[in-house]
Amino acid sequence: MKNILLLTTAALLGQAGAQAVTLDLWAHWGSEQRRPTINRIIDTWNKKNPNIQVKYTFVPFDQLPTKTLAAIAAKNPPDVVVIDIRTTPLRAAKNQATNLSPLGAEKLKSQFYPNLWATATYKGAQYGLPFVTDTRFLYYNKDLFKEAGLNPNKPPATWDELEAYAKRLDKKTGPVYSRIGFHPLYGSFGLESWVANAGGSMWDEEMVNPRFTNPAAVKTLTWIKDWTDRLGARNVQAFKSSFGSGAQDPFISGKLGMIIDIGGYAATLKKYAPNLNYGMVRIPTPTGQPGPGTSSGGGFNLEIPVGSKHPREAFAFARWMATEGARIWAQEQNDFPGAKNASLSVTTPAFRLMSANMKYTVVSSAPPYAPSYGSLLDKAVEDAVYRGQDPRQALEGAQGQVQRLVNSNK
Amino acid sequence: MSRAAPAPIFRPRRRGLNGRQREALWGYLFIAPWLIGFLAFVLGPMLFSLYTSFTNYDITSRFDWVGVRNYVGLFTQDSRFWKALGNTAYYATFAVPLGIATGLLIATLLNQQVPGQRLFRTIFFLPKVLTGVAVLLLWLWVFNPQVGLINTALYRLGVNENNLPLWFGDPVWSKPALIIMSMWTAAGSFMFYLAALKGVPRDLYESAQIDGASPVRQFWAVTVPLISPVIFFKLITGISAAMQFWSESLVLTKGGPSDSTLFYGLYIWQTAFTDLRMGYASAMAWILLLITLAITGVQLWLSKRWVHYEGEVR
Repeated sequence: MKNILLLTTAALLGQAGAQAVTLDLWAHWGSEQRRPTINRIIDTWNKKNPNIQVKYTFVPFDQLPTKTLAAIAAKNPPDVVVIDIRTTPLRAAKNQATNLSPLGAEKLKSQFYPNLWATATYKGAQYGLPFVTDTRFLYYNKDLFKEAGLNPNKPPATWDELEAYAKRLDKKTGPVYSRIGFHPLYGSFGLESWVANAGGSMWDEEMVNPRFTNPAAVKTLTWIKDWTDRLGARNVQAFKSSFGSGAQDPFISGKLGMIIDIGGYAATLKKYAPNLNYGMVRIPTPTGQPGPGTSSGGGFNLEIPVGSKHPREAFAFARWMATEGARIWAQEQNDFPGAKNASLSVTTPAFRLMSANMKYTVVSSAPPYAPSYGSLLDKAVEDAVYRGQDPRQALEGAQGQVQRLVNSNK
Repeated sequence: MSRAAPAPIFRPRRRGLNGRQREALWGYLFIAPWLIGFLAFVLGPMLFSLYTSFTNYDITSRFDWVGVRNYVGLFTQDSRFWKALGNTAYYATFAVPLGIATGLLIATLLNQQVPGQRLFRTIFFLPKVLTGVAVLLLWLWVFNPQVGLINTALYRLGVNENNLPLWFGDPVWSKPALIIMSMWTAAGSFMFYLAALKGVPRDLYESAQIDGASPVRQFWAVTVPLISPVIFFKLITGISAAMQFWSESLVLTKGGPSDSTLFYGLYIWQTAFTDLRMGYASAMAWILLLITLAITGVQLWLSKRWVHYEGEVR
């Protein structure tokens, strides 16, 4: 495998001439935890490829999209960029990401998880290579389960069980909650994820037209609203504001009995709460049976911005980084890689669970004509859940606004 | 202004430049760096954005003329445009006068003859130096409904637990929270008022005292009219700044809850850089400019009635 890669790289170099080129790589990894790994990946490549040297530039996470956009508009972009997995189709549609199919991307398809590969496919062509993703699980506190008389070896599998367990775990001190068993909007799983979990979708197949008022969406939002009403909307919001990170993490501090978080949360728990007795299981679904959207993930793709002066060399590096580089990344950072081989190289229990969960994980792309739909949907959710609006009406309102956005952007 | 400049250069007289022309030439030469910067980085982009506002520009893939479609769409179909405009107006209406009052109050206090005044002035100037995301995160804690400074204080004062504001979690309280927050930087602008207060002649107070005016009366009858140019300046610049207020809401609330802190600038930014609708966003920016110009015009007209310039002939 490695030899083939080196050979093709050498062949590419032959075409490009013996002259050494320098590639610019932009990514958002600058922290003490992340920086050494990305440096190691680049050093490894640079040693093997004296003719294609990669130079890494750290760009803060929130500035990366706009800076990349500005650099593309100025016709002086980086050669490779690590960028939000959800918005690759948008950049493909707007002529910002290079079409990698003519460079031979299709041949790599089988090496990646299909749902991740699909995030960078636009109109049948490939515009990016998946680097890392994540997948979500239900984490539950076994000690609190025992305390509430629940069997810690039988975690909830259906929505009904989830709610019944949560009720048992709720704890009130006087008028205020000192512990909440579970709330659908705590953690990192929003309405859209719950709808996918129930087997529905907020968009049509092509991610063009919204269908926010589909029965699954209305039912799901009503379910979240009823849950909130039982606890009291005010209590739910006020309680959430007391959450923090580290030792203030609501699951670690025992304020929450169950929470949904990414697979990497297991590593956080190991670090900050080594003695916490918890379980990590698939997210419950309405029926108890898993489906393709039971869990959700995000992550990052490798793209070559339009205007790169060395697209062939950039592709050679991106391909290596998405496979061999991702292997190093996964081993050191515990992020789940998009390349199958790289994911198999890590054998921790959490990683095995993540690997098994991949086929139940939806990594949805942002709709190219309405990338900012999230804020409109959030408003609908907040209005319904916290402020008493009828769920269907709230969704209809957002649907109208998003559809207008789609129509004017087409 | 710039039209007059080339004259001396392109029509050289045989006898050379006269004194006035020579002076003008040097003048323009000296301001040339600024002028070039202004043309390249302000006027140029502004004209470009004016043109863009009549197109469907998205930076990288299209740039077609659409006429006034963006403007018509904003006024007739875009409810968030009106929402953002309303939020911005709300913010400006309260933040600007309260900011001026806070600055003036603090300046008055810092103008008293008390020991350690230099130290107090330094302390009150600190907010101007300390800015950025770290300070915003501090405010997030101050307004935290459960463990925050304000609600803890309100609770101690006897406010029922269920009546405590949720601040950034409640559309009714999110804007007031941001306005209270803006007082923090407004306090730091006491320097302007302090300088103006120092310029009020002592003898006017003495005359007022002889006439039996109370300190409050002195403040309204002597101090305020004499420092009115500074108040007016802060009013104009304050409104213009308030119309462009949004980065705090991006960091603290992302426009929520329920769009209650979706300010005009935030909506422009979101439209331009998330939706990549640069043409539409440009149209919004021009509407904001026209609104700000109109308000400033009205202020200038009204100012004749209350702003007192020393040495002005009426």
